[in-house]
Amino acid sequence: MRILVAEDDAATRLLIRRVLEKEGYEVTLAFDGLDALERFAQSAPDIVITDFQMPRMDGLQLCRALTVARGERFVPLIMLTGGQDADLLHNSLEAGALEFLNKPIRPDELVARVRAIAAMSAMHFTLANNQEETLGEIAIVKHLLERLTSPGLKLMPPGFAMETLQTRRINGDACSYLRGIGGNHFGLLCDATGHGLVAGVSTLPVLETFQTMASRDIPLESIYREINTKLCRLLPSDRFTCLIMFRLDPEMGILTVLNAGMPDVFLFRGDSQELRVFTSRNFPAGILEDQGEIEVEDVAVVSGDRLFACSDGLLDLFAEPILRKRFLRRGTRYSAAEDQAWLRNTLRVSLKNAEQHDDLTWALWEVPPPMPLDLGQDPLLPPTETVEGLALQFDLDPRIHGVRDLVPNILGLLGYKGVPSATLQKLGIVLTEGLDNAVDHGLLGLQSTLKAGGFEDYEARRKEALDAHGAGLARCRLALHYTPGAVPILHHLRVNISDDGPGFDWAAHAQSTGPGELAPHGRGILLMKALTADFQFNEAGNAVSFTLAC
Amino acid sequence: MSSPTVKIQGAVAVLSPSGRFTSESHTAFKEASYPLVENPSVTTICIDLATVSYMDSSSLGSLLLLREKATAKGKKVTLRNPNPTLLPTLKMIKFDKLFETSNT
Repeated sequence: MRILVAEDDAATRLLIRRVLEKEGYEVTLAFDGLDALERFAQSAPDIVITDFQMPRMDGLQLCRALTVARGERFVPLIMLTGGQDADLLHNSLEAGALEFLNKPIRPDELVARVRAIAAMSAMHFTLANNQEETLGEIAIVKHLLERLTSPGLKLMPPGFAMETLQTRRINGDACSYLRGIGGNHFGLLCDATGHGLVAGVSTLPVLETFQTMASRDIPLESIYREINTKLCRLLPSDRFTCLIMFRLDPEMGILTVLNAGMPDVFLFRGDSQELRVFTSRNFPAGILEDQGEIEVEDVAVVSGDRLFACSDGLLDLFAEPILRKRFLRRGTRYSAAEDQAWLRNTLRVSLKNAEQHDDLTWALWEVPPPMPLDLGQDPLLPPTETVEGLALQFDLDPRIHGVRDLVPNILGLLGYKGVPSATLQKLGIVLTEGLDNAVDHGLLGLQSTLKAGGFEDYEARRKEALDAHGAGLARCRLALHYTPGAVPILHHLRVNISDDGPGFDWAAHAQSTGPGELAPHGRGILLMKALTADFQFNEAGNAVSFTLAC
Repeated sequence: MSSPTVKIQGAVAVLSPSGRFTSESHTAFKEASYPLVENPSVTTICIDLATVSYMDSSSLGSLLLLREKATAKGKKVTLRNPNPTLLPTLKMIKFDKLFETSNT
């Protein structure tokens, strides 16, 4: 530890030096204030001892100058005084002195004072260093979170808003948006327990797993299972993460919500003013490795419906329930953009007013209109000579396997084989629709008009039909066609979907379904027709084939 | 939070934290509860939340840790008397399904 001593009296100067050097300190001597100031920069002392009265620059002036010169660094200043004059002490403290020593100097008192101050200085140094280290670590985690979430959030379509308002610390809140391979919108809001680095670090596997799996259009239950398993294995048992996930399929008009330990999610119906609430039905992730059944809720939605979700930082006090009530009263009287602006503003104000609060994450999504359908003539691809480079074929027994989790995996494989993402997005929609039709209408004999009676009702009828269903498969063949040559180029996909059912009167269906009847349940075939080329039914009406350009 | 009080009635040990039950209470909670896990005559550890005004997520974590330790010894952890502001949160994260929860 280095000490700078400013003293014009040579005898005192030497006494101080002898005593302190014996104690192991490194001592630099200065003849007066000005000399000390000059030596301060080069000797970078940890402590400065200065006499009160000196020529050229006295102790007070030196203290004031050093207070500026030391900047952010903590350098305690000890003033040597001849007496206990109150004004003198007061002025010295004002000037920046921290401690006093009476003259004439007593070696034991000098040593004791300097030791105490040196210990304090060392502690200060350690604390400052630790803080720097912690701030550095926090910055790294924040940077990682930002890198993981912001690219997706920037790609949100108009009508979607989602953000995390962070406090200075890391509190384990994060959100993420992305569009799956089949064109569905996925959202995640999460809130990890605790504060600081551990909370921040535990959101990383959640985000990473969500993004990898959602981009492949994997069902929310499977994503949640994977996140839960990872957290159970990675984190200590007192840590858990609450989360909400959405999946919105605007073409089929289906919203799926999974709530695990977060506050209620609200769906405002644009037309009916009805309010649908999604209460937490699952354990937060990271508590139980085997949770049994994961509960998700599917609801039919239409363009203009609005979804609102937020975190409340568990039990941390915050005026958020009040905000929610206010928001509920607003309903859908205003446009989504107006509501988002209002919400942003309100949250900013209340965050500013609340000193000790948690992070807050919120999402407000307006269900976008389905893709406009071009119902003109069925486009034909110009005839080109192609060869089948790869064909996938599968038969599906609906009693054993569902369509939903199958399609994303097929899309994933085709993506891997070079099918462009725009084609995959369309394929995701038409494959799901085609297989759903084959199973629900072809095999189970359900009428699509049943869906108008409500989603839950339809699902119940579907389950009954499925339980009663005997043998009978849905069949699918997907062929990748290439232009032949030295470097074959992927040209189009030809898809056939059929079922063992009796078929249906597609000609009559085409006649009866005009462009005016575009309720989600009646759209299926029109949608498939609009998104594909060379769309054809067989005579019996139990097989359909179409082409997708690449 | 002051140190939780402990009352042992037969095979049931009732542990009563009070006031704010937060990350700062963790050590006191651990010191009061872990000996109960080791106590061979105790089979059920009941956390009485009647006088707890507030719990943060760390204290919920403390409950999970205790549950893990107790389960390993074949013991049960139950919750009692959560106040009306606490109960909705416990339900939201399904702690009422993880810990037998009752009112007395």
